[in-house]
Amino acid sequence: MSEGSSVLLDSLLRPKLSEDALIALRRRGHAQLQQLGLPVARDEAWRYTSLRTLASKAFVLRDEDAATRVVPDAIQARIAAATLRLVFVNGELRHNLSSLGDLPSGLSIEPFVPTAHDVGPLSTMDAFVAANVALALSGASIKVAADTQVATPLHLFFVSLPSVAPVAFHSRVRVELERAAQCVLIEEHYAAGNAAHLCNRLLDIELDSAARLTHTRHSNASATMSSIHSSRYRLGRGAEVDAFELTSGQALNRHQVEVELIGDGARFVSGGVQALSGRAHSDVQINVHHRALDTSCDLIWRGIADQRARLGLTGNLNVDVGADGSDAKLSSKNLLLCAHAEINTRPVLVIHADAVKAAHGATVGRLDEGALFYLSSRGIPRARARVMLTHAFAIEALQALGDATLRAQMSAVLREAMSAFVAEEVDER
Amino acid sequence: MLIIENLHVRVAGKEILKGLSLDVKPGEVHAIMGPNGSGKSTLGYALAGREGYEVTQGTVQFRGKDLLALEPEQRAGEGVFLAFQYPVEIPGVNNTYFLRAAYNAQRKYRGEPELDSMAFLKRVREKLKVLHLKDELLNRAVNEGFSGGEKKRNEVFQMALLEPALGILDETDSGLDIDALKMVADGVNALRSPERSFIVITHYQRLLDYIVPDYVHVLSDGRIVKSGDKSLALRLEDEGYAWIAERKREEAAAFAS
Repeated sequence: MSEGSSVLLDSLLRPKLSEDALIALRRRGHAQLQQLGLPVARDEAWRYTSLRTLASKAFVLRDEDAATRVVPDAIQARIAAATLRLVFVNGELRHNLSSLGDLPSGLSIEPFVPTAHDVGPLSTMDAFVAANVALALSGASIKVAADTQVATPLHLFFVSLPSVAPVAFHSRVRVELERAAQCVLIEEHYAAGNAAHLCNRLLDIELDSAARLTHTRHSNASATMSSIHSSRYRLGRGAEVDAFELTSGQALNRHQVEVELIGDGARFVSGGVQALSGRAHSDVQINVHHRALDTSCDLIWRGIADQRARLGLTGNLNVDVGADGSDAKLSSKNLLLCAHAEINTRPVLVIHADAVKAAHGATVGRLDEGALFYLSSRGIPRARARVMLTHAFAIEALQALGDATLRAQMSAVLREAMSAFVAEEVDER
Repeated sequence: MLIIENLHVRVAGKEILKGLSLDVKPGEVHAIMGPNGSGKSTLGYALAGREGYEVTQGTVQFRGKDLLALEPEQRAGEGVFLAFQYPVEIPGVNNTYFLRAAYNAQRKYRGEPELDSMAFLKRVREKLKVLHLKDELLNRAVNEGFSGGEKKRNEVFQMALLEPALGILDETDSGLDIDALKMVADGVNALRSPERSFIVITHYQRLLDYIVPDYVHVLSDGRIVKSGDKSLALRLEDEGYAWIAERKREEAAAFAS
């Protein structure tokens, strides 16, 4: 038996809560939310995201017609292309759109059941996590058994469709990978029409020793949507995560990522692209905690801001006392395409161990005019040249994905996003 | 093919070309020589349409069209190709992808059907051989990590692929060893035809041993101060550019008196 794994496994396998306990848990979330209130600009973690506009909006808790709403063809087509999938529409799990037909052995998926251990200590809970604890009505609990390698990617679709009143939906997804288990999780967020919901999704991921997860998250919602997402990863001994996310075109996107490297040799690689135009606002906070020996993290993030977009990236890399041999890297490169756009990038390194490698680099620049001219001098129209160069700039973040097939797929998604990005720019002129 | 009349070009507020005139007929090779700072590269950039190269006076007709009214990509579509003195490295843009995008963009501009990837690759391989370039360059990013010689050969390779009506070579010989120089010259010579013209901008006569020009022009202080045949290049090689400056001083003195 490997050290630590049984304790971890025990904690993962704790029995489900009774009804009473569930109510108590929701009350705790509720009380915490009441005590914290909404974050303000004074809160360091929310310095670059103002909730003023969002705070003035009222949301209902449920869309009564979520079960029958018709998903537009374009989104349907994307859903149909995925073999294993869970589909949430306006926060409700849609069984008729989901497909778990031939669930590979070792993979189990259950509807969301809140349990005490997935909440974590109240002290680290921010207002939106507390709201999720208090109010989550839907979600999923995904488990991959020890030594199981699930080859077919599991897709999670979150679809937002217009409804009479804007909905705040609090979805919770929990993923557990047992010892040496492997799987690929592909998360896609789409919005149609003028859907103006608040998507507060909380994702908890636990990897036991030697487990491996590839996780991609792509969100491209209409300008009226607000997304506040929290992702919490806990990695056991020798566990590895390759994560990649692409955010384009939302009114408000906030992603809080907490990473705990608790087992020796755990490794977290995260690539991300934020490509924003219009009045989009996207702010990603990544807090990595190296809590064991020889743990490593590599954050490769690229940001592109045009028009009046505002973009933020904070990478907090913390190395605990005794976490010797840790290797922490952060690269944040950004393109400012317009003088009215804003980019804030903040690398923070807090190191309490001695034998540590840590590196960070953050840049903000413009598209290379020389390269633009070179491409157009060969006959490539300027708009296309901009797509090629922004794509080339962003594609570095795909290094985070070790899986070549997935990397190629995400590269295509990225190119599509860049084309839309430039088209928007041309329209605006 | 190309008629430049009294071209004045300003860069960063400073006038660089001060009334340049040149007439290039189909099939001709014109060499432009001149000392550093005489405006040789400015001519290339101005013809290709680089931003920041402001034409303040004069006209440029290219195959009957007002070249100066066109965007850089339109000029390329019309058949103007500039081989850069310093080819730009573009990390993240795959060479094959770039070449195909350029090739098909030009065809689209001319209302011709785009070439599919099989037919395109076949064409690319044929042209690579001429320039003695390795296949693997196709899978790398545009010019990234290419040696100086590879970059210059890549420029000529692109020209061979795109088959422009007018090729402008901006100091394509600089930084090349003799073998690379021969390869580049072979590439250019293979492209020479009664319909295709070249402007070969160079500092040294050496390149003109291999790409033999019909005309040689000496550019000095933004104007063509002397034109002749290939023997002019040999004289420049022997005597340098000083004698031109000398002659200009004499002219100025004569004018003043």
